[in-house]
Amino acid sequence: MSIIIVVLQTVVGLASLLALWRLVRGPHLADRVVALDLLASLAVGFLVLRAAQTGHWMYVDVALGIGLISVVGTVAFGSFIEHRAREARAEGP
Amino acid sequence: MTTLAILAAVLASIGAGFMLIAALGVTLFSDTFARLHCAGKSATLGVACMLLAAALWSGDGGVALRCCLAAVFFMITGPIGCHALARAVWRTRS
Repeated sequence: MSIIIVVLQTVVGLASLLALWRLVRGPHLADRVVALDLLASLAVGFLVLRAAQTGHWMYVDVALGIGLISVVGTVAFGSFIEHRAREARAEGP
Repeated sequence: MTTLAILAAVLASIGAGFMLIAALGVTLFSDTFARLHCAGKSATLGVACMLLAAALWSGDGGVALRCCLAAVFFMITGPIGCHALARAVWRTRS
């Protein structure tokens, strides 16, 4: 059982590295926000696996908190992108 | 290994696979909308599968209930966040 969890943690870690690459590379702000949202989901998955590994089920509550904050952050970033473009259009030539 | 543990391991493997697919898509796709499509669906399903696996693994009623509620929460909020972001990108496209 523990071997399976370690393998799954490796898979999730690999996925986090890929998402991190997009976070650094992303040409637009929206791409970076997508990568950040994905990273939060991957962190939730990793924490759940960690909870199953150690038997400390409080990690699930931490994962739920991370998910809550990530959703609020994504919606706020979407609103920010929209407002910024509208202001740039109003000030533009 | 009980049947429940095997079922939980299979569910967690499915979740990790979906997460890896989501990360691969976000890395390899060439368009913001394609990346949103990938991260919005696969990652949500992966997280939900993993939380259900934890609910089966825990063997404790309270923890299992919390995990199931968290899975429902993620299935609701994941698409909402992606929809908000996609709307912003669509409205500000040049």
